[in-house]
Amino acid sequence: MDNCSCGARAIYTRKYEGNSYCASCFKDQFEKRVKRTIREHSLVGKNEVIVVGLSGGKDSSVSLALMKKIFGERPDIRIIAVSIDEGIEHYRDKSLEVTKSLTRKLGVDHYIVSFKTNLGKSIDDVMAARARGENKNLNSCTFCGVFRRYLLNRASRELGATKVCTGHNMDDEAQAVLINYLKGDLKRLARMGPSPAMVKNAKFIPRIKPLRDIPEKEVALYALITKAGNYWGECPYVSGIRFEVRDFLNDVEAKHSGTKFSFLRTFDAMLPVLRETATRSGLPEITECETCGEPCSGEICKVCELLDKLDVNLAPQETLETELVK
Amino acid sequence: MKIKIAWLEEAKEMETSSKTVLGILKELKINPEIVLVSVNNEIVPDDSPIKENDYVEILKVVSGG
Repeated sequence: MDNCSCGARAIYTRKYEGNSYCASCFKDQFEKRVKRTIREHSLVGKNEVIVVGLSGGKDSSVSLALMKKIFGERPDIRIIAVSIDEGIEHYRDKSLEVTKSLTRKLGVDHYIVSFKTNLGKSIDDVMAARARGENKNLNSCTFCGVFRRYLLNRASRELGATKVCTGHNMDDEAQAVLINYLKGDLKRLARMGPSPAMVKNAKFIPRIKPLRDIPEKEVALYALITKAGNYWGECPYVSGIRFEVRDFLNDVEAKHSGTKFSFLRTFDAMLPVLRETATRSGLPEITECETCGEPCSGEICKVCELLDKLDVNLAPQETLETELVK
Repeated sequence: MKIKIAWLEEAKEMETSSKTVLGILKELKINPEIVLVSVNNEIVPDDSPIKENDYVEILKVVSGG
């Protein structure tokens, strides 16, 4: 077992580069890498309102703590946290308590947006109906993801956000790239990458992912060292291809260190060509949903389509109902 | 040798011939990519040695939604 280059006891060895780090040097190096990602891809400019999507898990907690640490003193930048409450008992209720204590500790304005209040049904409601035989072909992660992205984007827009910051790490990104390859989804692949998406629409708030260059294990280590995030619960409904891809990539990484890193770097290098090809083959025109007015690529947006399948009929709301955490 | 191990909210004694954290993980068929390990309450690298009566805590760090 090697010591850190500073001479202190190492707590972590980054196998793909062969260096060992003590807690203090790991923390410094981690923060430098996140700052480099933000700088290299111009993720944050001047006069920004940045909404950080905060679930209470390690990734989003670290993301919020770091954004506050890096930009908290800038008078032209405001950081706000938004948590989406999907309504999953014994999971989201616990993680929301973690989010509240974190935002109180950091002194960050924090809003909670609930599925049940704004969309008429919680995920627990949907899953209970499914257990009774309704909508058997709907994957829980599919509609949860669609609703979550919709509410986060809309709440951020209503709060005047210029960027939405998420806690996606290197593992999340590598998994998403591989899934889109496996599904042959060139358009979705072309929209990925380190800088905000190529789909431009005034109602879409650009997303930034400052942890994109950091492996999940290192985000977890940083969360433990800094006590930024200590909720490790797992959603009881997780399913789908993402988890098979996650296990596959981790199996390869364990045998061949650096696989995820080089996989993502290769994707980034190919991105300009992918975007050119996707543009040539025709990107979908962004229109407004006939039902709710949100941006979409068809007549009806995915949220309204899924709500219809779930037999939810809601009158359009002018603004979302949110809870301000005090 | 005997060690005490905590994994997935369960703590138990374990008889092992493994000499390192990595050896323990292999024995338990746990991918080192998905966990952080502490020995006697201190986080350690995977190649750290293990000795008699150590308390080895394994924390799963991959997200599940």
